[in-house]
Amino acid sequence: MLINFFKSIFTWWNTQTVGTFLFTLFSGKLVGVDQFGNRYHQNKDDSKRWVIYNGDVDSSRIPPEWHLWIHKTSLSTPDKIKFENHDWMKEHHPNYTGSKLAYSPSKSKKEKKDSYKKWQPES
Amino acid sequence: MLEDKNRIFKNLYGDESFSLPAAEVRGDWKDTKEIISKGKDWIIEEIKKSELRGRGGAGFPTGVKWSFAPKEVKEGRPHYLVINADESEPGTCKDRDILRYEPHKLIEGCLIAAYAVSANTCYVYIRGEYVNEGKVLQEAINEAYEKGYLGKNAAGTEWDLDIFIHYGAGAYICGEETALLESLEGNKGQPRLKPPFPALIGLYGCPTIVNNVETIAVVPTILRRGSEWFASFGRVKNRGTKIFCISGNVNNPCNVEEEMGIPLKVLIEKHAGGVTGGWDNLQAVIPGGSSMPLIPKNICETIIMDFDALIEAKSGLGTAGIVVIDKSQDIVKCMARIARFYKHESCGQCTPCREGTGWMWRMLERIGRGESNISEIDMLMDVTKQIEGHTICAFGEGSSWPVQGLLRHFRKEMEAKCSDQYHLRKDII
Amino acid sequence: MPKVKVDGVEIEVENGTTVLQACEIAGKEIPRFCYHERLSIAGNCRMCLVEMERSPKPVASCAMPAAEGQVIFTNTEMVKKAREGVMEFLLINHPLDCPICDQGGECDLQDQSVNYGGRSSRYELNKRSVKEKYMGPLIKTQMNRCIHCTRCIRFAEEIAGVPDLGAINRGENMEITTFLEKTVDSELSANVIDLCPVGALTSKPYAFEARPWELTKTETIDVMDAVGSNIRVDTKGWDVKRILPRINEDINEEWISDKTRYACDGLSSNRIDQPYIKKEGKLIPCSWEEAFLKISEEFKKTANIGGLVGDLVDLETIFSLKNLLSSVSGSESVDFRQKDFYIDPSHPSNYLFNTPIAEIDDADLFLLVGANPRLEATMINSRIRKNFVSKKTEVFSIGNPGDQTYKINLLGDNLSILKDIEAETNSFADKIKKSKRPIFIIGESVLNSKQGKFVLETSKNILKKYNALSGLNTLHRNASSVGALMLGAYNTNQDVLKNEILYLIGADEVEIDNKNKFIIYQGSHGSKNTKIADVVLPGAAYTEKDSLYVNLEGRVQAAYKASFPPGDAKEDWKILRALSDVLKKPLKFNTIEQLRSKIFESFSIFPEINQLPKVKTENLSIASVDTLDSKVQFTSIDYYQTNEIARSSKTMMECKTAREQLAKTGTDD
Repeated sequence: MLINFFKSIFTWWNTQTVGTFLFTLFSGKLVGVDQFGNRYHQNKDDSKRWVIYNGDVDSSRIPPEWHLWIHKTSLSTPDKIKFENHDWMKEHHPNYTGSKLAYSPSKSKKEKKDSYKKWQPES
Repeated sequence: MLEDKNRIFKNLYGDESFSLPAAEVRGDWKDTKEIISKGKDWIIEEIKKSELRGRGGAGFPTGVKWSFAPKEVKEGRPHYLVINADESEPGTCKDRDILRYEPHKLIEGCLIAAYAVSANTCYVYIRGEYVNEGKVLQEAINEAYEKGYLGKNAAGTEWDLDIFIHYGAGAYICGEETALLESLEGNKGQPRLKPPFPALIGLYGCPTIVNNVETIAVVPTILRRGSEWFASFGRVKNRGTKIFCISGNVNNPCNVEEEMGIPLKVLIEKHAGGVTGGWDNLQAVIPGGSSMPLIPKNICETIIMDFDALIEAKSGLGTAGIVVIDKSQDIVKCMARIARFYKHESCGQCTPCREGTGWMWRMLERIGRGESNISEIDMLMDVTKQIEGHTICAFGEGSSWPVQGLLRHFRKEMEAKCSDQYHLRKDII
Repeated sequence: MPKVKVDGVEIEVENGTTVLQACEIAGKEIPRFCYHERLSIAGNCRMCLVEMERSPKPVASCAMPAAEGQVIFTNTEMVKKAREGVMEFLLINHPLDCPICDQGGECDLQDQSVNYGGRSSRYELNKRSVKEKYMGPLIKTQMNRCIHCTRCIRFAEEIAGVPDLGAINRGENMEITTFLEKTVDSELSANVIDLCPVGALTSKPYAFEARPWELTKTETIDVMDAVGSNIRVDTKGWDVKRILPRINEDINEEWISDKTRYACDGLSSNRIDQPYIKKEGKLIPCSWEEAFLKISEEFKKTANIGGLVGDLVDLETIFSLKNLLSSVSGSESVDFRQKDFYIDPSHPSNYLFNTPIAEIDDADLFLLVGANPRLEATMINSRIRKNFVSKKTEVFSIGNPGDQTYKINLLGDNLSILKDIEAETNSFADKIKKSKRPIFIIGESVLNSKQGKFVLETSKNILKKYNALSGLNTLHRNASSVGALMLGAYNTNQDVLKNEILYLIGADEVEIDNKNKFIIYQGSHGSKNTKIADVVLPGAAYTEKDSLYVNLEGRVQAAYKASFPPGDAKEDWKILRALSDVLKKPLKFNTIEQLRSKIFESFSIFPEINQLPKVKTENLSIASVDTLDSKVQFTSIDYYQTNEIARSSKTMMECKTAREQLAKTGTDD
């Protein structure tokens, strides 16, 4: 607990800063929580919308439904919109770039070959 | 009101035969030799004095245009006279009646004009859809050849003239003079860059004068009756008589030859039998063929029909194809249909017109269907301004002016169709 | 000389200048898409609009001639608005797929939308989609991106001379296409890729290979033919990714041929990257030392050594080989001819293309004698066509070379016509009498031992008569020919191939009977002559060494190293230098600078780099020859397969197949 408190004072990349905490306390209204535990807030006249992450501060952790809401593309929160669910849709995950899970094309995984073809005397 | 004796086109309604004997009775081919014997300078001077302005839409003084042709014919660079009979403007059908009922006026005019600009060859570029009119014209040309009015030493004037008919392939843009020349040369009908103007470098790179059918057809009569007679009609710089084509929501759509400067209301009430449902049922009038901005009823009350008066009303006389729109019509949908025509007929050469006409049409269609946000009206105005004046030929203006006219006079009607809540991606909000 | 005012600065420009050029002279940049210096003016993109005094509308500056007293503004609000409007129209139907577009990073539309593009798109409707077109194995199309500037159409019609490209439909539906979805049948076709200001026409072999900013650019010289086109080689790491033209008004203007551009993928296949030695009839990989020792053993056995250089060999290598062999065996038995080929090296004009390439534009009569410039020297052919188009110059030919993209008047195919012209019994004599600058182009097809002397001497006689000897031109096909001739690397008395030991450097075309012979092959690519060799030494290709090449005019040009030789391969002159040490007859140079200064010292005929040789045709000796009744026999040219690099290239093979297909469908001609 104490560590978390110090973290929120001295770092910005853990859940929320002190400023955000206070601002949320006084003028924030909780709108919803997504499946990852990120909490979404707006102020009274809906001129500001923000999120408090459940963990690292990384905007790619916001799932697409909430992405719409937080960018003000939709007026209402995801639970009021009917989304179609297709079987090909995948579970949302944050951007893996820079992590071990990062995608790399199969081509570059293979061993590096000579970039030229040798002449073969028998051919 | 024009008196019958002052009419140039006495057979405008086809009551009599078009053929040579009948035409001669009406006064064609009379004294042609004497007129030509007075010389080129006299002819051009006389046309200048008559203040005849081109009847093809732009209204450029004909005499001045002819004087641009080089005086001397250079070796290997013959002059050409090209008659623009590619009349495709929606709402305009004057040339058609001249071609089928009064072809000899045109042919005689060709001889005089060709002589004045030192051309021995004349091409008539006729709209592809005017098959029968072309046949009539060809027959009239054959008659003239038989009688010796064309060919070597035409009509005894010691001037040689051959007239050839060329059918277009159904493109509106080929009515633009340089696109017409391209098409005549066998290329894709796309306007050329100006300068150089066709009067110096035109058909096959030679000096070429391009004139509208009506312009050429009135020339013989002007010269026979004198420039003072022609100049006695109308106002300064807007002289003479003109064929008005009245169509749309009128009781009696017609072509009528009238004095320039006749009030629009008189024209509609007297000649076209009035607006359907009475004058009060009038919504708007397109005064000069589809490419001119429309004018609403309050302007129609007083406007007189000549070049300058209509320019003051932010419209134009164009080809004098008057389209009457009554209150039963949805004005936005009317204009959307016109915009679709321009989208279809854009040649695709230069960017603003190629991309802009389609955009305008789609926006108008959506506004017409009521699927638009109010902010799109301003955007539409922006688009028309971005097209206008930025293109190679006048098609850019022709396509954006009608929409501008609509926005100028009927903005309220358009706004009523839009909503400020509307958004294309409505399924999300 | 009209004076115009651009943004308040008064400048004087030459007659015939356009407003756009005037603005450019005044230092104002005008955005443009359709305008290109070397093409006719279309004026259809409307991006170059400027404001002009006394003109209510903005004026398209590319099409408006500059005239006295014009006052032009290039940075007013009106101009900015007009250009932004045009840019918006261009972008509404242009897919915003820059991240997956090969033009990204060198796209005119991208660059100019930075200045004139809107903040975001106001166009919310669906974008236009256009079906892909097929334009052959070189040009990849993505016609959604086309902005209809018609540069490609104008290039095909005006410069390439093949009216294969055109626009169909009108308005929004206008599409650029090859009319029957066929290959563009031109050796210059790939230049439309450079011309296309957007990513509509991109390079098929180079598709998705690299981004322009990742590439290392090296400005160098092409060796696919003897013209010596100036090129830029783009490499990423070791790989040569693509080759682009470099502007040189004296040689290739702004264009290069398809072979020059796309044979580069041959550089990464079929490479010899280590020495081989033949043991028991089989080539076995070995070390440099083993190979050199084997050679020195053989060299001790006999002094009967001959050298033969191939078609892509540079000056330094020829010079080194010549010096090596003369120091080892005292013989000068080095030659560059791989087939029957008549030369008269008594005077340089006998084998040079004496008319500077840029002066082809001034010629007023052409005679081709057994020459097929379209396939032998494509860039020269484009110059001839340029002259033909702009001046309607007549082109005559003895022997029918086939379609040259311009009209050819055939005089017949018997060489005795030349004698008739000399005797003025042929009507062509009148033409040449009237002509001020006639040009004779003699092809390699007639430069054989039977016809060569007759053709050369008779042509000289004719031209001498009309005081036009500077119009005598020999059209070489190989990049090494003129350099070898200037270095004296030819052998007139003794057939090189009769020697017991043969040292081949990249000589892939020659037919060799290897019975009782010891053959050393040094080169970059394996070929049929590599297989019969006893020792194989890996050399460098033209993009992998600093070297000098002499083009057919006699102009010395420097090629630079864009990449390095693969594996154990070395630059050719270094191999010869190292071999000379093993043979204990060291060559007297250690660096390329020393080598070059040696060349220039020994041979005063070489001009400075990039200059033409100072050769005077006045004191050219002329022999009279008896008439020869012999027909022109064109040696067949497989255009896409003329050398080992091109033969190793996959792209060139595809081009060849496409052209054969084209001939089969009957749409050709």
